[in-house]
Amino acid sequence: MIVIGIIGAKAAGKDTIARHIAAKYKGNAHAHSEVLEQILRILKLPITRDNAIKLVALRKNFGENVLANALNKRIKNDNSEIEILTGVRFDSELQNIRSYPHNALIYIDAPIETRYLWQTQRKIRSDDSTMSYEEFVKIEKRETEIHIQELGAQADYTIINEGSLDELYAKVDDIMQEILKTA
Amino acid sequence: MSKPLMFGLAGEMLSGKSAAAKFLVEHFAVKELRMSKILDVLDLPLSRENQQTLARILREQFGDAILAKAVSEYAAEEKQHLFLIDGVRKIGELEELRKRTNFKLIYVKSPLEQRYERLKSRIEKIGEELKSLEAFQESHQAESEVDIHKLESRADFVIENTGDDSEMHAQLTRIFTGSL
Repeated sequence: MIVIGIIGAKAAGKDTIARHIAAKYKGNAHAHSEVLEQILRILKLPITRDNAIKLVALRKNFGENVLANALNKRIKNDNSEIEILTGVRFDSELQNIRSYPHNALIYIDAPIETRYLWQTQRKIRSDDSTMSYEEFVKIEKRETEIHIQELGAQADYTIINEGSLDELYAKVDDIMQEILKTA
Repeated sequence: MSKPLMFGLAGEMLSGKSAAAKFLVEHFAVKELRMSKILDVLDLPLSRENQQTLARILREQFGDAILAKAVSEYAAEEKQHLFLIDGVRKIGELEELRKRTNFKLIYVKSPLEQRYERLKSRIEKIGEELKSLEAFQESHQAESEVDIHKLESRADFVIENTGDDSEMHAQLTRIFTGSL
């Protein structure tokens, strides 16, 4: 099994490339945030960034690996050859991916103005489309977001997402050739 | 539609809340609503300690009423009408439950010495070190425990658990049949 971690600021294109890899290379994609989102659903709370961030307190009490462990359980249950894990935000999550014998890390980035535009056009979380640019910039300073660049520096591959979707997919395909070569 | 009937259990540490909950669930087909699904998602053991820690984190992060709100919504979604939650700890929680359900708070009382005896046998099972009776008494001053005493005067029923199971079961049976 190959575990591919995807690091990137919000709306940089993480889920887009994860979906592409999953579809073309028959993998399974998971977001690090999905564990938190499932908990919010159990609690009947709206899936907002603010609510997800509050749940990060679970790490303080149950250990910093608690969310990574929850994700590992899901990966194990998938029984798939390629696993894509998006939204690496903490060093413990990165180390968790590195702990798999065959792993790769991709960092994806895009200019902040572009990312803001993309976010306002989607509806993953209920507060996505109404957020102001100032708020968008401010969120990047939060505890969950500030490590992304440092983590990105540890990636094996970096993609700057500033062209068309086809160009993005071509870059991902090149990287996938490399990753599969070492398999 | 009428509000669902929900029993809630409150009481000091080791007063016998879980035993009372178990009796109601087993004898009267009352459905216990728990947040244990969250521990399952996190792949954490369903221990008493983990359940309490989780409940504490959620109250701290989302307010005292968070669990009360969630269980009330679950109760409203289901066709059946008899529910129970174990471990009501906050006034805010009680108020939320009274607003959303036909709520009956049962406060379980048990003498300190007997609760300490239960602590002893529970500790022996998991092989931890037993704290002294004084330290046990002291731990009631903890923030999480202080609110619990305030719930006694607001309870619909107060039952005494002196260690005689059949006596406690008789009290619970009277409460249950009287609430229908």
